[in-house]
Amino acid sequence: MKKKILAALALLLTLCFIVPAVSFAGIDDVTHRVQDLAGLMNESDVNSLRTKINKVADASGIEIVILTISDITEWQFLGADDGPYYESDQLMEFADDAYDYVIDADGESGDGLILVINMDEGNDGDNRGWWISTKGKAIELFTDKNLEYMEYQFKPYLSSGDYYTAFATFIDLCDKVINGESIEPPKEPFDYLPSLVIAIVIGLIGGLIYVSILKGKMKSVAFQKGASSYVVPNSLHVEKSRDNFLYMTVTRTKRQSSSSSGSSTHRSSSGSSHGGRGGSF
Amino acid sequence: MADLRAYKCPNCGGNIEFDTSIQKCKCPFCDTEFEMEALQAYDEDLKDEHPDEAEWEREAPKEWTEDETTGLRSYVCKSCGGEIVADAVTGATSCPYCGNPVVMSEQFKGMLRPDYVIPFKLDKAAAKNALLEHYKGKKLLPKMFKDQNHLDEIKGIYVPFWLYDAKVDGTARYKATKVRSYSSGSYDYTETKHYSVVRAGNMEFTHVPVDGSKKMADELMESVEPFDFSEAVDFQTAYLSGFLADKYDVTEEENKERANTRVKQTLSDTLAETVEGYTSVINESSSIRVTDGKAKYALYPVWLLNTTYEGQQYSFAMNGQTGKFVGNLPVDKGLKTRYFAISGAIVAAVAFAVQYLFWYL
Repeated sequence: MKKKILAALALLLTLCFIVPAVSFAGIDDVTHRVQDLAGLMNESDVNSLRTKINKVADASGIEIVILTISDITEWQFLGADDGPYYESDQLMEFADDAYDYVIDADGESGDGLILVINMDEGNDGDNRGWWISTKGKAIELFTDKNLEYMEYQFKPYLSSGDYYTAFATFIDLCDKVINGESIEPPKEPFDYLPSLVIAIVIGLIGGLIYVSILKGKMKSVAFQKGASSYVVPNSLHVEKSRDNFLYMTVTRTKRQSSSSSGSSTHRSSSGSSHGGRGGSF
Repeated sequence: MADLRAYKCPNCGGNIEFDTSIQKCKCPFCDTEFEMEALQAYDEDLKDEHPDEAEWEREAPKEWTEDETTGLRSYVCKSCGGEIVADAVTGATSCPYCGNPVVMSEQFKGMLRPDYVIPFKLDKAAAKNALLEHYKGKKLLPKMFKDQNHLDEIKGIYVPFWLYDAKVDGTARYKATKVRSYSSGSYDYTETKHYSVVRAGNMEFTHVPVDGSKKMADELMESVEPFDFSEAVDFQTAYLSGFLADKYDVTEEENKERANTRVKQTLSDTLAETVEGYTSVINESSSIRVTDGKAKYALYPVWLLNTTYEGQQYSFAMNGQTGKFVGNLPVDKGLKTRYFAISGAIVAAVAFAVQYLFWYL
């Protein structure tokens, strides 16, 4: 129990930039924006990422933080309504709270994003996950589409265990997004064969339809369907017209995420608005 | 027995014919025109003067008239004396020897007398033109069919029709649904409301025609419909002069079922049309009754054209009143394959281009 509170406090201090540097076990400098608490990288890699991330964040005024943890269930944030501890599938809540209660605890770093990696070691790593939580101006910058493109580009490195490249890619992508550059991945080259097969099938159907229309024009002899030409004008009297409601059925289907250009948001436990995206790897 | 009538011009004695363009009888020799009423009156005067007309009736050989199985009758042309052999239902034709129009007026006497006739409004030339129009836009028509097109036969026939008046009333029950889709939260909802719909009503029909001639293909005769009954006039044999005509050989009773089927279908369709505002409508049951069925007998004008192509006969029909032209045409297999290949290739090329564009869009 004590260990967990300490750990929470450590994170609080680590990420809280107004607090002077205090050293805890495993945490070298609380002002650093890259905190590899799960120990996924060696020291030189961490230092290299820190240099890189500082350049981007300092120049733009958008806060960027990368945090790796080994077990989400050991955490709680002072002041957070969630918890007291998090479940494995609560990475979104964890990331939102980490931003709200630690990075933006002073209310001065409202624009930014945090990438959290949970190695889920408490559960044998069955549910290794990542989540990007955005806040303030970052919500508008990191649209759903942008987050999707980012995932597309850095997740393969996470899955293969190349964490340094994954995070370096993440920082590069953040830089591009903040500067308004497109991060749309280049399309795969057009695949001719399946398209050709589809085109031929459509062509066959189209040809058949056209020829059957032409054939239909050759035939003009047919029995009349009714006798509508011989109705006495205004002789129709509808005597009974009853429409009885019997019963109602309702089916529901989960909506596919829309491909709009905006950013979808949700509310965190602190009541602030966050955008984000995540999954397992 | 055989009462053969040739309408003679009171002016020059030539045989007069009905002229479609002026809707009167006209003598082709001296160009005198006759009002139908005047001709009718003149005709009756002549009849009174010649009570001995029955005499030549006996001239017809008895074995022809009594032998119903042959279905043939013989007449003697009043103009040239030649013997005209026609089938039992023929009511008007032309003499094969002198070409003069003759009307077998006995075919339209008493119970056989039609109540109405719609006179021909379109002539032979119009029918020929209509056939050429009919070929237009028919992409699969064999080129040879058009090029070698010689008509075997073109004839204007007054076809016997039974005209039925009927009151129809019925009740129909439908199963109908209204489907509404909406979204709430992260779900799409589809709400289906089920209804039981009942409609009952009645309507009246007048002069629903059913072909009363066995010789005429029923399908072909229904295809040239509709006829406009408002232009029908009281029957006079003089209208038949210059055209072919048959008397009915299908009775009013035998044709009734077809008229009933058609009027029932129309009431059923009309009731179904009043079921509005639903996403889907299925007819579950309907019961329709026909009452007050009355039949009249009329002759309607139809142009028949026959042509032969590769040993097969093709029949065309034109409504002699409205000009509606029908007739199935042969399909050229080679052209069919070619149009299939060309259109298929174009559609495939467009489909491929669209896929390519969408990939890089």
